[in-house]
Amino acid sequence: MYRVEDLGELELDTLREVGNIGVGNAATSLSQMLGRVIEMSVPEVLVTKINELHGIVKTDEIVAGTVVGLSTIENEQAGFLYIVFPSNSAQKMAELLLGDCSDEELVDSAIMEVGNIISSSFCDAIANMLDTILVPTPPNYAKDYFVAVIDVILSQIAEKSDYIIVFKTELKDEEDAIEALVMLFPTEKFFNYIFELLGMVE
Amino acid sequence: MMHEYLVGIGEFRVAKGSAVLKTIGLGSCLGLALYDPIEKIGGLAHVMLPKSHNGTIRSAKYADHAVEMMLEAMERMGSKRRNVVAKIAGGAQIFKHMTMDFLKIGERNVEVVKSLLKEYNIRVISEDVGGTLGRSVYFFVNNGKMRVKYSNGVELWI
Repeated sequence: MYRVEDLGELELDTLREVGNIGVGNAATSLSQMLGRVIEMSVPEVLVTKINELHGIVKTDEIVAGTVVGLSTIENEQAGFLYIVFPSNSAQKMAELLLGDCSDEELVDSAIMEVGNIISSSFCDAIANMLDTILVPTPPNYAKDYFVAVIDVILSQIAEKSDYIIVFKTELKDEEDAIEALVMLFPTEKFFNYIFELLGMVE
Repeated sequence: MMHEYLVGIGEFRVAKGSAVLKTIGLGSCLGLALYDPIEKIGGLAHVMLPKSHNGTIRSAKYADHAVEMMLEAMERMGSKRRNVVAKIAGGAQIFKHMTMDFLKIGERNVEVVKSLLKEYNIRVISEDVGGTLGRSVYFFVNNGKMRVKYSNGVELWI
């Protein structure tokens, strides 16, 4: 059983590759939905202490965030996906999708749906690659400080470990009008499960 | 100029005199400030979890450990336990659309911290808890005031 702090280069590379495939598929979905070319940044896998999270993300930025929980087929918690849109980007996306943005509730539910679709495509791609099934929960949505949206999740992870592993990629359209951040917080269950499926552990 | 010190998620800090302790983006988490008005010694913790389990390593991420650790640190700086009072902010429920039950942890964090402070005989002199909005908290150690800044831009002093 690997713990977050034991992960070496090989394990992190493996996670990066798995996440890469997930995000690639998510970018395609987003691009189809918006009718725009979406580019993705080179994915990063970071291991960080929870109390140092403010060093890698803008914790006080106001974002529109969708959080989806992932479970394995045995109903074990595998991790969380956090799809983050900076508020101006969320607004722009709603304009593209809805045209009229006067109804705030409608805007919120549109953005949540985009987050949901991105998460599902991410999930599907990973599950496909690993030849398994990952079950996403329905989406949870909030507009708030970057860190306020996910502190419940960090608390969950903090019950077991002071470290989190963060998979992070940016999605952007050509005009930089749309920006999204895809983050995966896998639990120890999740990466051990992946390593097992890939034959990396006995 | 007052110096600002950032308290990271699950951390605590104490200071004496002219200093500002701040913590950013509290959702379900709780900003717990302890203050000795006589010595002007204060501490701020960013509490993530209500209670530690038996045998867990001491960490300010747990409310019970945070109270103990801050009290000890403040005593080392010359504070007297009987003079210490508390202010709390946070414990919101950020998600409108909620499908995972544990996401309701905010309310429980508030309850546990309050009963914990009662056990220690520490009076909560003001609070701003619950609701649906994230908060950032600035605790002024020179006068014990706490500025609470909501994610919608509204600010208040407690």
